[in-house]
Amino acid sequence: MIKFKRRPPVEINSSSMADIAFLLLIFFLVTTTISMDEGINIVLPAGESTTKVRESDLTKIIVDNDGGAIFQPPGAAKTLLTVNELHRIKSLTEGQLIQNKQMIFSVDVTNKSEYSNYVKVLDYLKQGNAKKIAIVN
Amino acid sequence: MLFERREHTTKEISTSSLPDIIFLLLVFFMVVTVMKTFDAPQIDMPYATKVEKLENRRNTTFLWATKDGFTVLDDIQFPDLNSGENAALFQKKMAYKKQQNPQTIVSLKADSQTKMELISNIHSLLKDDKVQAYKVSYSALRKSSE
Repeated sequence: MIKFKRRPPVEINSSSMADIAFLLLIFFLVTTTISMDEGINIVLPAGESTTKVRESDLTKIIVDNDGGAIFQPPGAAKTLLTVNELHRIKSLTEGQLIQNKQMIFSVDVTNKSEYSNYVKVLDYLKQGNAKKIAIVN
Repeated sequence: MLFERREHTTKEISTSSLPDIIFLLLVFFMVVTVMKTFDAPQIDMPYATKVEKLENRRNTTFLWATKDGFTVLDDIQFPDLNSGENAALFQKKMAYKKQQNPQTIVSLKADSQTKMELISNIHSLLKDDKVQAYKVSYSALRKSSE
């Protein structure tokens, strides 16, 4: 009589599968950088449209080539700010907004000035809670 | 006398579904991972405190401005936006993007040392009647409040 050997069922051991998956998971966890784009949002005025604004509602900020600025509130003395004093724009803006909530801040930057100075001024205006910001081209 | 044998049940938590869970997480991270950092001009972005997150990346058009006066839009370099030819092509490209997605926000990634002349130029091209892209975000790196 022929005896048949009982063969054990052929199986691939999958116990290490979880380890491999974990390894890959950790790799992706470490290498993932969820990119976040942040910036100062602004809306440009439409076309060549001009709106008449009362002089008393307009504070002018002029940024010169060296990064210094002139803060000119309506009917008041202007304040000259050097590059290192730009942070004062924040408190000056807050002061103007207390006097007039409708205050518009117009930013005029000279062509030779650097972009970082412009962003700094905008940032300080935003920190001072300025809502209406006009950009002079 | 007959002794009844208790059935021995193994008290183990089944881990057979563990690989499935791990694979699910793995696939998630594989999908969200952006391995390729796309080639972009070398720029040092300015720092700002009051930065806001861009609402939707789908609506964002990235515009690069280097300190040398180069502007890059969709892998096309514009060496000088003052020249009529470059400006026209730039506006054509931007107008097409605006037409495809009216919600377009222009994220301007400009170098700190870029001259304002170029930025003003970009402003006027964007707000031109042909383009009408008014929403601009000046890309900046977040710094802690002073």
